[in-house]
Amino acid sequence: MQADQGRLALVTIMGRLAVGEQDALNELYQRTSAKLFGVCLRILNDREEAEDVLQDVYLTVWRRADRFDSERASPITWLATIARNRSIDRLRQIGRRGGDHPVDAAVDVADDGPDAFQRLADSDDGRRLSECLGNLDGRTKSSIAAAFYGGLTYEQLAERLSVPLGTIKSRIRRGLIKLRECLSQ
Amino acid sequence: MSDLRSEDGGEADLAAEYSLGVLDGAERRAAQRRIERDPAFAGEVEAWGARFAPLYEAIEPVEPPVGVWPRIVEDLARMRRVDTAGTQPAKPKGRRVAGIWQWIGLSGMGLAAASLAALIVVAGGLGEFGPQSPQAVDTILAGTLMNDRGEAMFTVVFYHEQDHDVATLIPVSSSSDADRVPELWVVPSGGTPRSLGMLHNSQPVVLALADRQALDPDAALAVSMEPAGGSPTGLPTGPVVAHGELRTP
Repeated sequence: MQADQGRLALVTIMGRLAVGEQDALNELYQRTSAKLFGVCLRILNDREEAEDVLQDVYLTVWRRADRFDSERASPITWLATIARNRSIDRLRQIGRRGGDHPVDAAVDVADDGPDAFQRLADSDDGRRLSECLGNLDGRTKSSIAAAFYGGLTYEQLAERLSVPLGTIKSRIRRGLIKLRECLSQ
Repeated sequence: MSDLRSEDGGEADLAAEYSLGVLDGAERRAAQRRIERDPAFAGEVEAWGARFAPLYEAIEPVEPPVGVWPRIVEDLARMRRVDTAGTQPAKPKGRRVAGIWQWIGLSGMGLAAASLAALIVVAGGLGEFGPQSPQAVDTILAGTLMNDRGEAMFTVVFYHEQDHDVATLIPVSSSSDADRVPELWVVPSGGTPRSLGMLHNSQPVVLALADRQALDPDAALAVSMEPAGGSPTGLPTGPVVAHGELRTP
């Protein structure tokens, strides 16, 4: 399987990184930077910010490679999670500064509707997640999509979807509980 | 543990909310601090990360501009220069020992969540030393010092008491060196080891720390075997029998 080979190669690279081999970072970058840049860009919707965060992501990976545990996480998920979290951190900073990059422009909720989930059928985990998301009502599903792909806070979601804050909170919280139940079956 | 009653839709699963990304800046930073000090919570966040993982499949790769990699290389070189400069003051005498110290200071041992979970229990049992108020819980740090075979040698709990920091070290298995005594060192990231005090091979020891820097988030702890009374040079001279990383709130 190509995916398994790719995963094995990444696990090996992560092991070399953990012992401080700098060449391994270059290999990791060649294999993963397009995916991670895609993640940063999706959250930040701003090329310059995404480039800065991408740079920071690989330095973080370099410092924290020894925390990666191949028994517990897939390398690409581990990396993509760092990229997304760093991007959201950045998004929150920009939000606090509150000027040149209006958060409203950061995501188009319409783009992240239920359709965004229909491409998850590539893996078993993806099919299961897709099924469980499918059990949620459409509004809940698209709110969760907007939150995941846009890195939006409850407050921003409420504003963009023009619903009260309490409504969006309860909608997402109930959705998350259902999702966890469904995935644990 | 992370479930809170809330009027906005029953139970809030903070780990899920963090993973999804809906928390605002302050809530998010609080959750990140909690990940560092609460292994159970960190485990829940990790589990949510795994649940959401397939969502990344729907994100298209985009080639980053060619300029990004050279900037990463520059930053790496800068980081290494700082690291090297920081370790220079260590005495060149005994190169092998210096190498070990450098390695401890730079790499930091990743702590297994299981061992940290066990430590939190230990901390909870230290009623007479431990913090009583919820605010003080923030200042608790825990770590395991292991030998090179990965066996736990000491468990460490740091906490803040009134105006100073206290470290409690509990020997898990005793080292068999009768002539020497264990000495505890803090190794700042890329820096020179500083002594925090003498330990006991078989009894818990409580150290009062005047030096707040012991709580440097990137610091590592190490124990070396020294002559009675401690290292004569002020730097570790004997073999390193245990080392480990501190976890900050």
